[in-house]
Amino acid sequence: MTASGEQVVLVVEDSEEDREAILRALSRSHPELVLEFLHDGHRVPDRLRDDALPHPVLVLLDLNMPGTDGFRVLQELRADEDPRLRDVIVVVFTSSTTSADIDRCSEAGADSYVYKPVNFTLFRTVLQGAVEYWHTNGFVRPGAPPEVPVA
Amino acid sequence: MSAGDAPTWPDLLHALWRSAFSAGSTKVFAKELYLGLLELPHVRGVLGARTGPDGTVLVVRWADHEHGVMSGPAGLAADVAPWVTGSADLEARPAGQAKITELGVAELASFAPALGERMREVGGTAVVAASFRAAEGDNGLLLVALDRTPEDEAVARALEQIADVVIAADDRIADQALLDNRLAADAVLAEVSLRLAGSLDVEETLRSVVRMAVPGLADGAAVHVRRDGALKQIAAAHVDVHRERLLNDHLRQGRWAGLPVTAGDEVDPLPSGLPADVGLELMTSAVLRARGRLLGVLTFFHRAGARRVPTREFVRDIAARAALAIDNATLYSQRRAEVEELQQHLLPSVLPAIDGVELATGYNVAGHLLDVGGDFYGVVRQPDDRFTALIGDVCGRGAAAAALTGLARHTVETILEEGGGAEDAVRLLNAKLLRNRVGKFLTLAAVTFGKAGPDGLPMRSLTAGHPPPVIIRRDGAVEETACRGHLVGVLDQVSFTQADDVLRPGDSVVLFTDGLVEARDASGAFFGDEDLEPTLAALHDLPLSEMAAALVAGDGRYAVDDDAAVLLIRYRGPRHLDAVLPADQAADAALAAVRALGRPGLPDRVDAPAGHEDVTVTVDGDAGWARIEISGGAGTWWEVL
Repeated sequence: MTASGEQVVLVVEDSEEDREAILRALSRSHPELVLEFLHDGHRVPDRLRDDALPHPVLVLLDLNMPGTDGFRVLQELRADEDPRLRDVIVVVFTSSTTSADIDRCSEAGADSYVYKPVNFTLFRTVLQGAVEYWHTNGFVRPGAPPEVPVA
Repeated sequence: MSAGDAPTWPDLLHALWRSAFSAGSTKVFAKELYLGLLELPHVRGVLGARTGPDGTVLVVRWADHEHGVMSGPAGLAADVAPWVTGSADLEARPAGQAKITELGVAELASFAPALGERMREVGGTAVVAASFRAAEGDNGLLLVALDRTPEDEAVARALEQIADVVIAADDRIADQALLDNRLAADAVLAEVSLRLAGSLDVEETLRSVVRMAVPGLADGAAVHVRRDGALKQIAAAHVDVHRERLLNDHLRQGRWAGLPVTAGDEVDPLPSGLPADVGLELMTSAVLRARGRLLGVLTFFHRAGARRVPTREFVRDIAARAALAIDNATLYSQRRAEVEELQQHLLPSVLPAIDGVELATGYNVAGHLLDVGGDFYGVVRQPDDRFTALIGDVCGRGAAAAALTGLARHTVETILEEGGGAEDAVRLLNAKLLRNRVGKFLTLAAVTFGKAGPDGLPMRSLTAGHPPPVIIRRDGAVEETACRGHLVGVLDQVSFTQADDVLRPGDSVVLFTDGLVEARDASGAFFGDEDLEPTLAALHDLPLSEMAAALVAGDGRYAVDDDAAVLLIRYRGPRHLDAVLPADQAADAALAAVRALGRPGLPDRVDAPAGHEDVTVTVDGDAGWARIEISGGAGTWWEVL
């Protein structure tokens, strides 16, 4: 949480258009959220370990990225012993709705699997729905301890 | 109001109205609102809250001169809660769309002590509060802490004006949300329709429908489809992956309110009956019905108090589209199975076993068509140790083509079985088609093989308007046979030029229909134009069954969209070894048999699989080409030397 009570959502997305769409989608519906963007997956673990910055309440992770793809990021986070990585909520979003991709992400530890539609209105609604759900649940994964606010 | 360069209250109010109706972030609007109120004389702090119809505190914000604007600071929502009940007894006066209450901080602290303490901490001694309606039955609250009791109506008037702006902005946002939801529902319907129309894999498509709806339109969804008289769960989705497993489990175990099939086609939210751990208290179901038949049920699940619930029209619409797609795909599958079954009846179920000869066939049924095609093939034993392989293609598709296919194949095969030549058979078939005014034509190719001798296996090729048979020599060279001839069923007078060739051991003959050569690759090039010959050369040593499978699959590079048949014949030559041996002796025995043919330059050993069981080992061929086959429990291993 930031000093002004805002919560940080870490968006890992390589597409500039999609980053812009995510910003537009969430800034109106969830003004209390501060969106922080990473363009590639390999910087995610270091960002989550960085205590100098507010700890993100949720990671919005694109599955298909060049370099370290979202699936690998997800596996690394869940395999880490550090609860800041292991227990952070990860919402995976991708254009695939195939059972194989969904099962793969589910087994790797995704908290939500969100279909990324081409239509912006639907994209916004889907994103808002996922964020709203975890907001209502206090941004806590089932079974994970609630985040202790940093003094 | 502050002096100097600070904006005047009318300026601030004007900016607020502008922000309220801009499409940008509400964060900017909130910041302007709170900081604007802090600019009013004697204002030390500002609290804003939104409460639900049941009094639950939904959103809180705080602003003071030291910290600026803060969203949802820790503990503030709990501090505000006593205000919701305690303020009901306070005297309030209407002011426009708001109700204004003024009180001292001490009085506030008497029923909301923590809130009172917050006001004191910023130097507040008096409070002016404005409560007003918000969208969706919620209530808004603005509470301003002042460092002295107000002497005039300035602050109350400012709050009244602010309430007007907030109400207008809130209504605009609510209207926009409603519009967004409708647009999202339309977008889902459009995508669902595209997918349903573009795929015949109904179950996979319904899974994607469920996935598209969650979490955009619902927190969970499930679809059940009727199978063998019972409703079977096809897919379920939950916005929370962990709870998705629970949802699937509960639905399968029947731990929910069930499918409202008997209750009609109700689509209003009902209690879901799901256990609490899955967190989905309500459900909206719609029956999937097409042509009066129940096909399944589509269900959306929601949390209690969920603000985004699909409309009745949306649920009915999506259900109707899904039902129609299921119905179409089911009918297609039934028809397709019938076509494939009928097609199989038009082809020989078993090919004869012929000494020294390997036979294989491949058949591709056009993937998208619902009519029986006219491709056929057969192998007929004839008197005097001859046999004839034939392949044909009746023009057109459907029942008429199927009938002619059966007639043609059986006419030609009967004549051949009785000792007639392929040319006799084709001429007789031509006359029969013309006499009966069938009105359709066909093409046909046949290869009659004689008795094998020291020079090899003699063969005579005939074509009646069909692609000529192709010979693949044992070294991979590919030759088209030189036969030519008219097609069948058009001309009274037909002529044929047959071609004679001889197969040596290892040589193969390929008969095929035009569906194979007309297969195209991604760039649109035909398989038969440039690539068939090198492909046949590359595959020439493979067991014929593998070669046939590769050809009808377009060798993985060409899309074989039409019916395509191939019939392959390989002359393997005399058999030099046929024995059952322990597996560890089989390779040496086979190699010794090949050596006995006088073949120079053979390897010292061959890498046949090891084992302890008995295996069958055969060696066919001659001095120039030999094929070893070792068959046992682990399958068949082969080597061409």
